[in-house]
Amino acid sequence: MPFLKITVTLKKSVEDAEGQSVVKALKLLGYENIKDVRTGKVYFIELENGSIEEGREFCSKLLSNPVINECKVELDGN
Amino acid sequence: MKNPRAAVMTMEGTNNEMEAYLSLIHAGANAEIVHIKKFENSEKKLGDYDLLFLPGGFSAGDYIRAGAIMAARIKAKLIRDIESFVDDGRLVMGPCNGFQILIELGLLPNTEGKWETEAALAQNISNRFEARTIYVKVNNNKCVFLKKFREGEILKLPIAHMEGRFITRDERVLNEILTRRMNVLSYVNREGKESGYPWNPNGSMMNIAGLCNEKGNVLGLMPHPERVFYKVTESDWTRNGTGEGMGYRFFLSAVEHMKEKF
Repeated sequence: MPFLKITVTLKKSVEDAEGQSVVKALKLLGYENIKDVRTGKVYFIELENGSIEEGREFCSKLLSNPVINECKVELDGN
Repeated sequence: MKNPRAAVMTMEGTNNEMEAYLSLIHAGANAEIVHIKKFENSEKKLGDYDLLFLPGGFSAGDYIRAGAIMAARIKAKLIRDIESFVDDGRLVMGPCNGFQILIELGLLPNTEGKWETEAALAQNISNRFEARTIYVKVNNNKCVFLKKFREGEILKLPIAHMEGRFITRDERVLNEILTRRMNVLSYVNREGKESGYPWNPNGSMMNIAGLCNEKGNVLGLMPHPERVFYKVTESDWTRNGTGEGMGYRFFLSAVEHMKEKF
């Protein structure tokens, strides 16, 4: 059964407030080598049948806002 | 003269619908709370109303992005009706989650007139849920909902959101908003000066707190006027006298406009 892995992240140009909080928290734990953290969401979607194009539709219709997000679609399984 | 009809559109997770309903009723509208499903299955028709209110809250749990799921449902079945509603000059107001939905739908700012998503309300720069009182300045009172306010007037309103950082798709959209004076409300300090955090609670571009379309009949804003319709619902009402709450004039402006027009 195929599944789609869809990763939604903030565009590089958009400041990632959650990522900055993670930077601070990791530094507080003593990891001084942390330079930057970017966060995102990953959706694992099981399908009866489907295609990568359908995954792109999921991005444009629901999962991402094109103003601030990048949406990467991968098709896996068989 | 008949009272104008207003619909407060709800779904699972929205809140403040009762505050919005009572504010509309007490401002003189004939309001009702309508679940989105009744519009989807044509049990209710948007065309029967003069005002659509998209309430605040956490529609569909705010999963994916705040307002994304409710906006996708509206886009799938109701968007053409809402676009005609706006073209007809009827009124749409969306505070907080309602503003997030109006932005997702492309009803605001809609500088190109294509109803496309031109902006976003991203996570607050503080990475915190900001729930407190803030100050905003009225930059333009041509917007139907702001007619009872003076330009330059400073309002004290409550906010409660995690995703309110207004960002435009590009510089052009931002310039159009500013040139056409669609940035009707800006976050300011107590003296009325645009300032950074905590006065700008979310890191919005140009301190934008509220947007009105060029025609003046669609208002989206992060604060909640419906929560301070009455003086006793303001945070400092025991210290600061009597009269109406700060949100009262938003609803009175809209209802009086509808009574004149429809």
